[in-house]
Amino acid sequence: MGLIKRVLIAVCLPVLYLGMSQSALAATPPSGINLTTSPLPVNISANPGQTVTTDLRIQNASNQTQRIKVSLMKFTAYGETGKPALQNRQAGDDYFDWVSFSPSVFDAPPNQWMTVKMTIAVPKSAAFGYYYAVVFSPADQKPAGKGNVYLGSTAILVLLDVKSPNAKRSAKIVDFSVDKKIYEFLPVTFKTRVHNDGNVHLLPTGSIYIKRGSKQVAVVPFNLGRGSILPNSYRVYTSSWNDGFPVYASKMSDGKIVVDSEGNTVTQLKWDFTKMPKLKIGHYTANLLAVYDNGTRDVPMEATVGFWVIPWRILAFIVLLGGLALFGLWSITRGILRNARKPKK
Amino acid sequence: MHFPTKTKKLGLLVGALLLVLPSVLFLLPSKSDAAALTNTYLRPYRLKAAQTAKMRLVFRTTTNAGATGVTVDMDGADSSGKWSASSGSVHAGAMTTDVATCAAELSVTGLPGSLTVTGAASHTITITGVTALSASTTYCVDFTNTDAVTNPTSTGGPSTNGEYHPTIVETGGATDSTTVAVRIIAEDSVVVTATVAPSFNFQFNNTTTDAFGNLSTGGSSTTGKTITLTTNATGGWIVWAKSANGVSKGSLTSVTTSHPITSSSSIGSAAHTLGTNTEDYGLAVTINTNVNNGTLSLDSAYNGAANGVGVLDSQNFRPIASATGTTTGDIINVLERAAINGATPAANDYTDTITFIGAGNF
Repeated sequence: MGLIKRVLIAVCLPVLYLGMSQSALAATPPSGINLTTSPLPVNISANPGQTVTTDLRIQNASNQTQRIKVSLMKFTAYGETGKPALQNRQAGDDYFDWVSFSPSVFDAPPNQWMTVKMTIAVPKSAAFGYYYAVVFSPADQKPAGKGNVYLGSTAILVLLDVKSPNAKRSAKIVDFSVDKKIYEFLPVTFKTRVHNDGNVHLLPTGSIYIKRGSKQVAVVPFNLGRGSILPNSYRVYTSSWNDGFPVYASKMSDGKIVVDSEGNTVTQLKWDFTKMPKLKIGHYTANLLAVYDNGTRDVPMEATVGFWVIPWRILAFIVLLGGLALFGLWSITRGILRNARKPKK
Repeated sequence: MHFPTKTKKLGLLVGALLLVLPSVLFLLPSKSDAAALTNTYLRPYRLKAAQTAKMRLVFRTTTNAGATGVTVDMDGADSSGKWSASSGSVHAGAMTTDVATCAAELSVTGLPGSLTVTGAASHTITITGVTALSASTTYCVDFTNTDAVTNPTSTGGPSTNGEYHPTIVETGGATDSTTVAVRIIAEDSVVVTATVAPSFNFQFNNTTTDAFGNLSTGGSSTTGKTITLTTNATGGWIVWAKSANGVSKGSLTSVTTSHPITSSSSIGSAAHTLGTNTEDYGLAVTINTNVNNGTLSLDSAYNGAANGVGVLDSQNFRPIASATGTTTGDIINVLERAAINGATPAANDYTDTITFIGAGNF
């Protein structure tokens, strides 16, 4: 083989290989946004004049390296269900200036956890609660094609409590109710409306003690999700008592909850006969005992609601069976007596 | 030389005895010398000093068969610093045993017979009632009292390395024995800890746009995209949306015509259906997959069931869906609906940019 041919082969082969490699890489389609964040939410306490830091972790779970940028928003209470309202910075939101991120822009390789240090330099004049949303967005989202463009981001909610002697930590139960007064079967859903009339967010916790007469029959956790309630807002907490027989439960299909055409969960009655002793019947009283930390001690909040559980279909069935049995017994007895009274020939 | 008759008889008797005796001796069963048991070990279930535990004995008989008992002496071959002198002991009195478990685990023979096991003198375990053991067979037995043995308090032992030397001795038809080593240490367990941090995953394939095609007076919908939410946080998740176009309400805008296609309904009002020959535009959200351990709900303003559509906000992010509780992968569908009227200016560049943000709830 001539020298020139050898040189050409020596040069072209690597180039071809690189080209094929690039093609192989490019053949993997981008998977869009796939971001995992931790922890959540973040609760920070600080004294006025103190600088605090917290580590926020993010993982790019997609199949390609993504350039991520970090930005800051805020959140407030939205309605009473505990949903936060996400908002951009507005005039007067100087507390945004206290915050810095390191790094604020970075490349996130696939499936690697990256740590972003959030530093909050709390000024001496700060007091009470500040509520941030740290937003992680791919820096170069450019969906291909013509039409509506979708952008996506994920956020970590950060609740900052700046300790102040003027902090007012105060909450009360405004309403404790059930969704019905008479149930045929469980679950019984309790709704607790709490008002935070202080100037700092609070985390109420507790239990609902259910009694039948004087006997306690169940304990249901209150605020199992450990959701905080923002200052000057209301939040409704929902708890459910579902340890009964039979019990309405979400209908499942292939491991997924079935929903109707309106998007509502479809429920069905579950008959687990191992739980027959848990048939509920009668009048019940639910006593809620919750507490929140007012900075020096736990402050209790109490409320009570009553309801009935009457499994009328089961009762009707038992009465019907009993009636049939009694009728049968009466018929037999009457027959015996008639035969006894007949004169013997 | 003439011997007297008596002498002759005596000589014959002695000779006969000398001839017969070896044969008799040969035929008599010979008493074998005691040999050393092999493949033998004692294993307390815990090796920590002063710990009480069950114990396992495994031993292999020699060519000498017939043993009908076994004695375990924890003091064994040690003369000083021995097991009982270092506060070690065995269960006093009747002991319980199990042979099936060790036999199955080790594929050996469980010690046969109606075993009677007794612990005594703080260091001796005596096993009787054993069915005559076979030669060259590995046997096992577990002493199942939770205090079958109490380990010595000393990790020094007779030779300062924590090693004690119990003996195992057959009794009955064979008397083979051996000395084993049991080492007692200061700590035999390791505490393992692990943490699972709360996390939230937001998955959204937005690599391509979502197009209407030709809008009509009867209304059109885009194909839409899916958003997948996964979290182990008990507070659940929430997704917000915001339009980039419009003064206050989200709009489809055209650079060519500068005409916004928007809704006449109010931001935050309940989802509505598109009218005919009436300009409208908004977001519709439906549930694709609900695997939530809590409750997944759509905001009533954007519930896309029954062809519903909600007015997007161009100034604020609005919650569109949320869930309480953990989930291994809830999926919501997001798409847009729009309608035009007969006077809507023609253009092929009507577009909007919608930003979705997801977060674990607080």
